[in-house]
Amino acid sequence: MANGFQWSSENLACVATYNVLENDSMLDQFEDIDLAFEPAGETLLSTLPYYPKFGASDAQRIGLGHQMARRFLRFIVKNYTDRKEHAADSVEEILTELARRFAGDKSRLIDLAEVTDRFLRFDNE
Amino acid sequence: MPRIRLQCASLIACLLGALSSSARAEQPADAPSASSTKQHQFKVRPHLLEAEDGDGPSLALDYEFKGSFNTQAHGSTSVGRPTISDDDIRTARPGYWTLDYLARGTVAASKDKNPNKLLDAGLQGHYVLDTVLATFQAGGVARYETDQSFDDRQHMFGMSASATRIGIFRPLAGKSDSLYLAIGYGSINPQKDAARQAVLASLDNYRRWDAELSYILERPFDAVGSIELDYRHYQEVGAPASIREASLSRHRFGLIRVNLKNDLFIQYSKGSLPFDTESKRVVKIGWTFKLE
Repeated sequence: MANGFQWSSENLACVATYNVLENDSMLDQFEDIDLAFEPAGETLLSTLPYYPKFGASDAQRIGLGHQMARRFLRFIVKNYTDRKEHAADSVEEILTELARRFAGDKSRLIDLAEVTDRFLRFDNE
Repeated sequence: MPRIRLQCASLIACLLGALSSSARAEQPADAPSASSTKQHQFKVRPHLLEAEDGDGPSLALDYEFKGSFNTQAHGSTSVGRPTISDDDIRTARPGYWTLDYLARGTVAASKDKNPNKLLDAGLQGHYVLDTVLATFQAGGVARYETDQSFDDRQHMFGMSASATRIGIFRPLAGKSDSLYLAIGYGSINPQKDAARQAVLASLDNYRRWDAELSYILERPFDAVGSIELDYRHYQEVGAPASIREASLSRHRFGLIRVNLKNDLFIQYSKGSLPFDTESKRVVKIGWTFKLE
């Protein structure tokens, strides 16, 4: 999935992904006391509370993926960066790629951070 | 009222959980974003099953094959600009076509204790439209359904539509929540159905609508990851009196599942699915483990 991409506290895309998912005033999917930053990269998104655990259909997973993606991107843009890597990218492309990660039951936090890093430019870049 | 027997065998469940496995083939995440995408996946999950009329836990195995092909998402919001605004995100409406295939069900050591025995194999093509209000999907579906023993089986062709939204009762719940509503309507072509055959002289095609309502409340308490409520309804249209009297015209299935920390769960379900001739109540206690 995240080919060559490293989960690191030096990478603001990883830090932003972790913080948006953890922060009580943002997506609030876990507490930092339960899931520290370093091991969080390999955590499956499907283990987080938003993800259905009982026999969900693809339609439900896709729907929840898109709903989470839009909320996630709004928090990233509001709190971390509003700059795109490529001006030619559309918001629809970014939302759909993020939604695929949120909908996939094998997607990890590092995969979400990789997509975030691929489409958005952070201050340390 | 029948008494529900519950035997907590968490140690065995943990061992079963460790046997779970899955495999996947997927287009690399760093593939060009402008292209269409495809994903394929196989997953199995062992667990313990206990029914009201059982004489002990029964070994069971949930399985699922699935995959999808998606077209490129339409939309041009913010194209040509170096930044994204909050207004861009709120107004963007990505839409695309997707083709999904799926096969899933439960196999139990004891068939009589298995209320989730519906094996569902299908092909579905639908359009996805994501808006700030909700995510909508609509399209056509072709499915093959059978019971666990493969004795009863039928084809279904129809249409389905669904809507998903996060943030329903947030002010009341204090935590985030989501709602998924799906409605389907189709023609059923029974290949073999012992219960209907016993009531009717022949197995003619019939029409059926179905609906599913699923609600997830995230992190209501510190020890609880989420609570899931799921209700499924199958209703035959214009069922003959003999089918109605035999309680074969309608199936209802309800479930509540509490997902605890560390992937432990407690689940209670009641009702029947197509091919079931009676309603059952089942409690599951288990542990989900996903093997990389």
